Amino acid sequence: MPERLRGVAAISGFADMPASREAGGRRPAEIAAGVAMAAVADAGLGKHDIDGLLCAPPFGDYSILWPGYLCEYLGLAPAYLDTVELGGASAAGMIWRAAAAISAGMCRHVLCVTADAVDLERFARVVRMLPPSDRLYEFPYGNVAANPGYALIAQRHMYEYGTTAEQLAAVVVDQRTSAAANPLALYHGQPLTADDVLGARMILDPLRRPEIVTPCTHGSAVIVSRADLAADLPQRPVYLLGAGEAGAHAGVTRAPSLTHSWIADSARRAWRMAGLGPADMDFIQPYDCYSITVIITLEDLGFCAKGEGGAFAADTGLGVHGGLPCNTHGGQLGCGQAGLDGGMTHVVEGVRQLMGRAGDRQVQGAEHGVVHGNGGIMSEQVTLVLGLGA
Amino acid sequence: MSMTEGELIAHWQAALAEGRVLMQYCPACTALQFYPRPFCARCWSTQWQWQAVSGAGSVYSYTIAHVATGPAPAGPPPHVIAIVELAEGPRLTSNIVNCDPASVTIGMAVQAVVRTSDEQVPLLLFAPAPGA
Repeated sequence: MPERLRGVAAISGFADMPASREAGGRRPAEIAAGVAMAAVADAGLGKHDIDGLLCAPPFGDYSILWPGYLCEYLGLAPAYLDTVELGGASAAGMIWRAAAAISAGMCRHVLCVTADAVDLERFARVVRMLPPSDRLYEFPYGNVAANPGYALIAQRHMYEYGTTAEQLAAVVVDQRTSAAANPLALYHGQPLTADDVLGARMILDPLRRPEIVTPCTHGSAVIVSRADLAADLPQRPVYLLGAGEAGAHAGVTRAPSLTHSWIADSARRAWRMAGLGPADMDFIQPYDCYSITVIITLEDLGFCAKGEGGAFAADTGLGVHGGLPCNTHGGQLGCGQAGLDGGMTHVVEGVRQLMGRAGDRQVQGAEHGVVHGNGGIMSEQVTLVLGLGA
Repeated sequence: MSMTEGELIAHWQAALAEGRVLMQYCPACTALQFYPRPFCARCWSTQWQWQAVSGAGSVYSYTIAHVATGPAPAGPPPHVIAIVELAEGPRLTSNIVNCDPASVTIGMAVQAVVRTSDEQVPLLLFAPAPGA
């Protein structure tokens, strides 16, 4: 039963664009349209081939009816349309949902698209959209948005396992090195050393500024196609081999543990469907809103033992040519985060690597990779296993 | 006991304003719950009861905010945002007050302190326990 989705669909095209600090007068829908059209073209498809649409609402121009609006804006009339809103896990969540809709015979080619634009009032708007439990039991104490929650997680991880500031910094250094070589990244050309990170401004102890994502304007998209149809398209198909999902809280205070996340559950489900494990992966593209997120993800995906994520990050090498290539595009810590589009960048990079289109940062001979999406404060998790052979 | 969410919150805040910290106790499964809901989140029973807790707890985790993130009942940065684990089990978010932020440690014993926000809402804060 869990194997039913395995190999049913493949990602047949993608689109990316440069990240920027300013909106430059652009709005989320027009940014989404640009990458949507580019992804469709990349897949060798036409507008008329798209019969499914998955999207995530932008913080910069939030509205209900976002799927209907995008269809109206783009002139699409799909047989399957929805918003996937799992925080940072939205994009990863789209991929298996698209495959499931395809498997159910609802559609053949699903456009998965995200985009957001920076605007000054966005933070205040996002804060107003957080759940009632946040407004009543978190905000009054200064626990607003995501920064404090992840700082609380990092502090506890250091207490339980002895994780150090240097180990957290190692994640940032490797990803900023990768981003420095990525022309589309917000921090293109701006690597950081360990001293740069450890000497940076402390925001919420123990997290320093470079360990926290920077908001940006950006959009990205992929096309998920029925596997047999993808085989006839110009790009090398990237098959969805495994998917798993998990989540049980919004505010991290209600999580049973700050250090053991639901990623262990989403990963177990994904590995089981794929019939693969960490040792089979040529790279990992994990959601990285903060340094500590990557460390916990490495542990809970099974790449190292619980509590050893810090040592693993520092000793294994997470760069493109390291022991475990991780966020080879620089991740969000290097590329920036455009709202819910942040998680799509990991999907795109995973696809780019498996299609063999990563240029100077190509992981040679990559055949399998894991992409992970994390939403909220380690609240909502989606693990995807992608590969070239179904 | 059947209360709407609004009634639950009002009851909880009224008790807090009097210096009492209440949790919901579920006799069916023995869960002690925070935050208040019209049912037990563990077993979905609606036969829960209010139970006063001691106000004693320990710091489960904390962060020192060097940049203000919003309301700051503990004063301007640097101030401490913490998850406190009550002696009776439930965890909640709060601030640690009446001490140097640098002195806060995980495991530190704390005791509930009630203050009133600018909007006249009672806040449940924690200070180092006497003798800590």
